[in-house]
Amino acid sequence: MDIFNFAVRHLRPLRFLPALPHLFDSLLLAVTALRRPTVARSLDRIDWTLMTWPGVTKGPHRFGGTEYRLGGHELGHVHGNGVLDVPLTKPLREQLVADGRVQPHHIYPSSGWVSFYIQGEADVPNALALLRLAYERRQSLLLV
Amino acid sequence: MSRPPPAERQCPGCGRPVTAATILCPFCGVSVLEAPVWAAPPPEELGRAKASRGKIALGIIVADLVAIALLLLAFKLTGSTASGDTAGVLIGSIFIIVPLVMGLVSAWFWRDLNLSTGSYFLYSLVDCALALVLSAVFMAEGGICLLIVSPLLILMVFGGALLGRMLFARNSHRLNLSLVPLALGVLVFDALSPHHSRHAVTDRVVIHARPDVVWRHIAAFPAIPDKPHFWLFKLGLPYPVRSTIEGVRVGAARRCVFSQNLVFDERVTECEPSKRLTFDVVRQPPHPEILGHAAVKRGRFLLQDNGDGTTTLVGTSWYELYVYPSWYYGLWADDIARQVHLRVMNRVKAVCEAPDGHL
Repeated sequence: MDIFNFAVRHLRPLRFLPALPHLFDSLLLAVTALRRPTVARSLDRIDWTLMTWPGVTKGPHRFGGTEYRLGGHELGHVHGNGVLDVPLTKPLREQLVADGRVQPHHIYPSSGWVSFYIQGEADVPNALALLRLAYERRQSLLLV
Repeated sequence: MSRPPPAERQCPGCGRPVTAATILCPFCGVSVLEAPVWAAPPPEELGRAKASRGKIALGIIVADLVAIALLLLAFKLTGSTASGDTAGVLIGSIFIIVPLVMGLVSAWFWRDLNLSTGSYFLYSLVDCALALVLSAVFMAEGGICLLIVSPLLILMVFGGALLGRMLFARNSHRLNLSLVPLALGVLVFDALSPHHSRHAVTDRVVIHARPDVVWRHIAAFPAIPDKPHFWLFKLGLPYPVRSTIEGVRVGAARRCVFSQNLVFDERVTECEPSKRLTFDVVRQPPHPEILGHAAVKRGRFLLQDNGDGTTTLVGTSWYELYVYPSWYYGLWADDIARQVHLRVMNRVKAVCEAPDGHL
């Protein structure tokens, strides 16, 4: 079990301590960048792309990682080890999981959230596609 | 439903035709806007590039100035002189909070530069290098000490910079968390807390000789002619060369001589022939390397008769660490103590197992 999963499963109460989750995730990203630089480069590409999408803002996710939002609603967030979590609908989640493209959320597997593990630059298009789904869904809700 | 406008351009990601109104390619998800943000700046923006270099340099310099201020505060609170063997305690916050704040300060200056993670690492490395040079010059730290501290320093500066990158995002939807009072609070609390870190390292070597034979060579082991194999010894960390003793009895003076003519003065406190020899370190030589940040307190040799003509020689050293976090520096110090043990104990083994007891 890696340090991220260990922290998520066994140190969850600590996530409410001020700045601790953000510090943990930043150190996780630092270690990821040193051990797997392609993952860090992939996260950079995703970040730079998302910042060109109209209306998207970013900031720290409350439990660590970088969160992207549109109109005050979360599009998804990415953790320092390359795990991308995106909120979708349950039917869409089931379809994507069945296709083998994503996994159920690493903490809330029964929800509409999905987790996608970015392991290299080849995963960038799929990651952006997932975020695009969330973006277009959120955009259409905002227009209603 | 109205007809979509005709395709006017190609997706830069997959090359498929997309409509003029498309923002995201429906095939690969890449933004089809004309100026991808990760492209290199055009030549006419050299002015902006110069400003970037200025901000990068400023971030590094200010970060180190802030670090100096925090170090002075920490030394003031702990009463440490931070120099040589009178350094006193170097609290963990010096190696965790201060580098984190350095990274945060740098990131604040770099927040508009849209730097990659790799660039953050590179500039954090420069930040660390400057900090290490300043430590060597103003704190008289030895090169090996700086080598030992550098992995922790680099990780914390880099982590702090990445934390700052996330917190200081220009179009962040969250208020920036003010970490300054939090970091200061942790540093002050750490500085005012008691620090006691005692460690013991034990190693075992099986020697093909009886305990009475081994006993003859542990109170005062003969000179070790071999060059050291341990990489830190090769880099200049002092290593054991020989020992002498004025008599094998309680209260006798023992001297353990290390390379560079460094001598540990010891006094025997327990002496059971062929079974146990314990000595306290009464004087440790001053040295800018680790010896300035740790104090060896006691050493012990135990001889265990295995009943088959062999002896298990058990060597233990007790030391105190004055530099924190002890979970990090203890790893290094334990390894160094182990290498000292093995150099001595393997020498004793070689002498005891030689055909005529000499090498």
